[in-house]
Amino acid sequence: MYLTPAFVKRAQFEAAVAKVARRLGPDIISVTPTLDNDWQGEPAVFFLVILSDAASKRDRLLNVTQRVSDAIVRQVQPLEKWGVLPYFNYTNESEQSKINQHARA
Amino acid sequence: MALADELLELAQDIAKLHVANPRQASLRRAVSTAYYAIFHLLISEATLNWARPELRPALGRLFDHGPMNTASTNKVADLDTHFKGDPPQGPERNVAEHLRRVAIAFSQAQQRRIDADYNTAKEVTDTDMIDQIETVRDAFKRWNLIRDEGIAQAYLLSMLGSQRRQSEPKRPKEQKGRKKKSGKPQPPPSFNAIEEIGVAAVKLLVERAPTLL
Repeated sequence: MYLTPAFVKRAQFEAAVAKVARRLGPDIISVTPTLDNDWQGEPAVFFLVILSDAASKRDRLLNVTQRVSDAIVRQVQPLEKWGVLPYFNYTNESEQSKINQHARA
Repeated sequence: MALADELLELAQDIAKLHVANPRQASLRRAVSTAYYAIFHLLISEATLNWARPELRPALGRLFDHGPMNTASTNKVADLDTHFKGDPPQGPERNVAEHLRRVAIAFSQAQQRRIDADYNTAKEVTDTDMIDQIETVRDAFKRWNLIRDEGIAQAYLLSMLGSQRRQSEPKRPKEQKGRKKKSGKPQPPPSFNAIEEIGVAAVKLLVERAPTLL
């Protein structure tokens, strides 16, 4: 079975993501990569991006999410360098706080 | 109004159902409906090339989610490689950028739709749902700008059945025969020979359709 570099060198991959995430600016609270397969069984990375509440307003959202995904794809190169297809999910600080509360309850 | 437009509008309507206290059911239906909007947009655009309107729905049934996704991820990989060569500013680059956004939107929307419909362990957020709708809406606008371009038509054709992804790191055995990069900018992937042949084949089919049936 062939494992893609992201799975084999998980720590290095996560470090590469963290390095880019730190440069994304104050609107981006955190970027958490999770390695898994997509629905077709292809190796994939699912980025959970937590945005500031201000950045997730409807009039700004698309601009912010396209900037974030472009930066990560171009600088980390998930597919070319690490062999995983990138997918992105977004939430904001308030939503994430509620999710965490539900998880604790 | 076309089905694709109706679906996008419906996704927006669902999104407004429980704004104050978003419910998972509404969020998930909105995400899923937005995906089907772009799914039907691209299929309807592809089948428009078929000369006999009464057979377009049957042709549309030949499109499937998996190959459409593979075609999209291949196209994004192609175009990302193309942009690394820093192609000159101009209409061709703009078309390529619009198509890249459309292909990304399709691929992302599809995976989100699967999660929204089947993965109850993953909570869908309002932010994710709005991003899904806005990304699809943006793809509709971009598609309208490029729908008659050869590169866009070739993308539609590739959705009928695409093979392996193109930019994954090669497995060790396969690296031996890897081509060396020349260093000079490569021609846009839009105009590679296979796609040209594909477009020509569809044109031929369309021209001959009345005599074939």
